[in-house]
Amino acid sequence: MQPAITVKNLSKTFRLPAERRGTLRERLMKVHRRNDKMPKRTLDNISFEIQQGEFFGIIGRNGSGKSTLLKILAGIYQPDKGSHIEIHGRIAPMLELGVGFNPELTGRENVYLSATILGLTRVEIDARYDEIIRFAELENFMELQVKHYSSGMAVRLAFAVAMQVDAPIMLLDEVLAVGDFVFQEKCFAYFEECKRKGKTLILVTHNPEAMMRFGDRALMIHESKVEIVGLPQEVLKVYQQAQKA
Amino acid sequence: MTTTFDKSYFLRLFLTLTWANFKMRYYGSILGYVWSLLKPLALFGVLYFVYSFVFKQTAPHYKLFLLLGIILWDFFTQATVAGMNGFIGNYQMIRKVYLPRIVLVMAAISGSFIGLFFNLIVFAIFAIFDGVDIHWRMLWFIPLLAALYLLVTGIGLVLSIIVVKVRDMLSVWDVFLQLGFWLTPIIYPMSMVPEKLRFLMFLNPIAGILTYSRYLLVGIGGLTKVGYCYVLGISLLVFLLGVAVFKWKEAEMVEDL
Repeated sequence: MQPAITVKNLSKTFRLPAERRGTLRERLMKVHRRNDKMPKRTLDNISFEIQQGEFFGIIGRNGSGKSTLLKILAGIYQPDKGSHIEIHGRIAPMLELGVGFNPELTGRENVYLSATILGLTRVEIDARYDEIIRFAELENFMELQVKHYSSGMAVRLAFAVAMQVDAPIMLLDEVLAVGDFVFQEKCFAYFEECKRKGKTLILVTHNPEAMMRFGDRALMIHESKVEIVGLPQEVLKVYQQAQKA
Repeated sequence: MTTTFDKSYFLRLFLTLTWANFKMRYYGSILGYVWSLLKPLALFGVLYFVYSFVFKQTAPHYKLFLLLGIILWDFFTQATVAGMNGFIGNYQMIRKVYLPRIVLVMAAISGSFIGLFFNLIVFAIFAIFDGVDIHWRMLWFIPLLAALYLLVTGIGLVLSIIVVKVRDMLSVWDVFLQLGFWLTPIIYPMSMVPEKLRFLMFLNPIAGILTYSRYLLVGIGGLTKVGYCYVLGISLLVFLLGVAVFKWKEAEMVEDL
């Protein structure tokens, strides 16, 4: 069986100007001074493979490049030349919960908006609408604007919508960082279901529990490079040692 | 590694986002729409007063002439600004979801375009009261509307890219729009422009769209086939140019958001 994702020699360099000149006024005032661009390597020669049906965790300190990696896999950022990425199967387009939610629109409207972004058709959304609101436990709040929701309500709704995505490869960025204990348990139940269906799941998280319970393998990124790829326990050990250092 | 998006996904996204933009622009209510109509109508009221009573303008249907000009210009103003914000205004979505970003700009503009339709209904009511005869000629207005849409989309796409790098582009564009209001035949007819300068006027595609719309809907002024085709052609050209610029710079701008 071919791997779901093959990454070879992936690098990503952002070119950051030494000084931000975001406005025309600033540009005109400093037109005589040079503003050199400094290359910043966020990912340096990363290689790994993810098998189909695998639950793959990515950990690393803040700023290590893990979110950039996920964004490149999703297609949001373009990798540097010479990088090689092969993906078999459709990737769900969303990295985080509730993206595309508009606070001015009602819960109901946001369900349609968000689900459309995720690739569902109107007919599909109509058919699953009741299930979504039941899962989110928001039956009585769907005509309310999302700006009046509590953050917990918004997250529940976002999660209920995201669960409807039926892509074989899912990328999730820090979904466990939001929500309470009950919400985490719901996430875990969802992960179980994904595993049963044979989906490939790639999860960026700081949560060791999730990694140990579900992870088949994990990858740790440290200072833009792959530190270790292996079983979750091994990776977590290295990660925790690095934290102390 | 560029994945192409499936056409039906593109269309669904476009329609849903257009509807959401429209809804937000008009605060989801009839009254919201009335508020949005207030600005062009107030401008119309003042200008009509000044020109009819102070300058004693007595041209037939001057009221309609002015109203149509203001409605179309108001759309141009609103839609280009909406398009400019289509990219930076959705930065959260762009950084977290992989979707065809061009749709975000086009949907922002299309939301304003729906508003234009409602404004044109208001214009139609004025026209009926003012005794304009319905004529087959009026159907030729539809391609002009399409041209206006393409033109605005082309400009909006380019602006949406520029504003990422130059955040005060909005203020610069405001100045352009203000100058444009007076340099475009909105409150005065093209026929008042000296013959020698008319060619220059027509370099501004909005001038042509306004002038011909007035002829087709109100019956003031005239229309040449060459001019009509020129206006359609230039609008299409601006649109294609906008798409090309957007595609060229899109990936780079995503990282700069």
